[in-house]
Amino acid sequence: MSNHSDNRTVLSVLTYNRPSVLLRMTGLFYRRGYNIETLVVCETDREDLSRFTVTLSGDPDIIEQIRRQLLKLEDIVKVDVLHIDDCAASELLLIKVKAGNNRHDLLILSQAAGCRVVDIGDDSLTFELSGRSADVQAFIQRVRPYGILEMGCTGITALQRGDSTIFDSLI
Amino acid sequence: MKLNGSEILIECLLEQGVDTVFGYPGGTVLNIYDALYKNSHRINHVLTAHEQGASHAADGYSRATGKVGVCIATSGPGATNLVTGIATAYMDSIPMVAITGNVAVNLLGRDSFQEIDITGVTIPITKHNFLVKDVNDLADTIRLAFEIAQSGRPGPVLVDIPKDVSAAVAEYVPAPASKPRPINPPKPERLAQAIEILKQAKRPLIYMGGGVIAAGAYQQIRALAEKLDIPVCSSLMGLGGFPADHPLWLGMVGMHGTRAANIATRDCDALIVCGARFSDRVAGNPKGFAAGAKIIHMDVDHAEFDKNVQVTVRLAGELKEVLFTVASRLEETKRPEWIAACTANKVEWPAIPTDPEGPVDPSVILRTLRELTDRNTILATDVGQHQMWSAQFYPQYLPRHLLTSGGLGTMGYGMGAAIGAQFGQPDSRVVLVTGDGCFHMNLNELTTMVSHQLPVVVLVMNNRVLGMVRQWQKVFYEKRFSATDPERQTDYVKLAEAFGAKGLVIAKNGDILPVLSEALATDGPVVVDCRISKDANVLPMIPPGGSVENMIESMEAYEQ
Repeated sequence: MSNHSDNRTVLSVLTYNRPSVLLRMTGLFYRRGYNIETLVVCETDREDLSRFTVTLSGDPDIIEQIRRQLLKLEDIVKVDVLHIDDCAASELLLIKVKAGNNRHDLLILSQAAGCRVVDIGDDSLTFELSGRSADVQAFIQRVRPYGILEMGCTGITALQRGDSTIFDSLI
Repeated sequence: MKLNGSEILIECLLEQGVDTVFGYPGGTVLNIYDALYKNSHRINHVLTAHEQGASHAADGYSRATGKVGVCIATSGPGATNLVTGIATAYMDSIPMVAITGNVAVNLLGRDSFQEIDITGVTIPITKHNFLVKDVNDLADTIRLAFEIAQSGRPGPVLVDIPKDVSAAVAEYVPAPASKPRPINPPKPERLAQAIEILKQAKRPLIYMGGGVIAAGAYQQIRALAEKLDIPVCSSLMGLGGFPADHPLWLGMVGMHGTRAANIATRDCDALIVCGARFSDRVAGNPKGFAAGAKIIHMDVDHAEFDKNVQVTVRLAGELKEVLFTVASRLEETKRPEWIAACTANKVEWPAIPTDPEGPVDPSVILRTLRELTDRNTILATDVGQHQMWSAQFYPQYLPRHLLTSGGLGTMGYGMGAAIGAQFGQPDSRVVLVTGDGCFHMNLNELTTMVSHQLPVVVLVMNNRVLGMVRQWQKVFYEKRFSATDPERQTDYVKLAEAFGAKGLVIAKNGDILPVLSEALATDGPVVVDCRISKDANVLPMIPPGGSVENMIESMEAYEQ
């Protein structure tokens, strides 16, 4: 995982909830040579619609090309382009750290970072942290010296700020 | 009314006005073929020699008629054999619906006999595709497939129907034919910007493409060109969208385009790009293409804007409407100096040689063919040197009369396309110009032409080499003719006769007129072995990545 600081763009893509959408979308990114950094797929409160949240880097011209190509896919209903610093964005980290003699230090660290302890092993602690990418990255750097046994991180999921939603202007 | 899936499919095809389908039977489409048998008085099925031929025939039928082409194949290899034809249609934006069978739903995903994930395979080469797992969804899926194929920028759609779905029974309720979806007009401020550019322009040029033909915007583009006195050039795909004998016509633009068209793109100060996409065969050097011009890009597909060349104004919309609106908001203009400058670069064709014993020049064959055939003649081509000669020396006056694989460049396209065109336009003469390389790829379809006694004239430009690749080896690989000199011993006359067709030979200049005349007078398929030199080149040529400054006009001059 690299440290971005942070000109990433977030595409919030509303799609019909059909089995092949993921394949069609990722296939489009692959064959046009666009690089996905993170991808989160979830249902929405409308049963027939799903939301794909894609983060990627690239200059605005490329992002605009991607947006137009995505809109050609039959399954895609809407594409919102969000800038990562101007939306409510969050990701989730699960990280298992070697405890050794540092159990106490790690618990203080995790508390300061706003983590939840989700599992305590004989020689490990597993933390859960959600928040902005920068906070998640910072926490990873802090615990690295203790020994990261394994970790998993979701990509970013994001919503636009204010009262507007992706459903606006949908029929 | 309760019908099985196959009968529902036939009813839905009939709803859409489909009268002819091209295909090949097999295990998973047995039910569909049974329904075709029972409905043979309502829908004509044309059996090809190979599924690829069926896919190209559906494409050729569509290009020649403007209707949606339909092809049918069984699962597995039947379906994968359609792939090249679907991709050809996709690259040239040809509306097509491909129907494939698949194994029964409960056998899907188990590597069953002749199972292939054809929807997975064709995602990149279709506008959309469907796997229908429930017979109750079948009718609406077929209707939607036709809607998608025709809407916006047209293209192929595939519908995969498992065998049990084609047998299962459901309620069928008739519906009207699908209509293309409405298209939003361009934004007023962009229109205003385009109008302003054209008001200021001193040296405007139109570069049109296949989009003009897809949209049927021939009258509108002509009206705009005539009202504002704008010269016109076109990509290969746009040929026929503007009459080649019009005083404003400059010819094809790009790699093998005319000198006049290519110089005009360099010198223009405003370029109207209409239904074209700046392919690398047109804009070899996208940064240098029309570098001195403000570019107005009209297209129905938003994703084409700024894809290859950055443009000044994007006019997204239905081309007929966009062209009409632009023309209606501008005053009539005359620009004799610019027109004279453009047309001065037109190169006259050399006189037709008169020595009857002289060598066979492919351009002379095409020019003679043009004189012998009326404007309604449909010319299909394969891909390579003969394709470019056809574009250069067989001028087009009407849209939908040149059928050629411009985008994918599919060798072997022509036989199927000619068959499809002849079924779509039974009253038009269809001529296929092919090369000996391309002809060897799909000559099996001669059997289809013979079965139906289609009066297609197949001109094989036989140089005994793979000419276009060889030409590139000549120019860019120091004449190392790797795998382009196959030494084939095919006797084309015997070959034609073995299939039940007529075979003729053009061996010298004096044969051209009588043999072409005889071929055109034949009521059935004819193969003409046109023995041309293996060193005939396609010129002019702008090397890949180059611009008009790099144009090669004579091979002798280039080699020195």
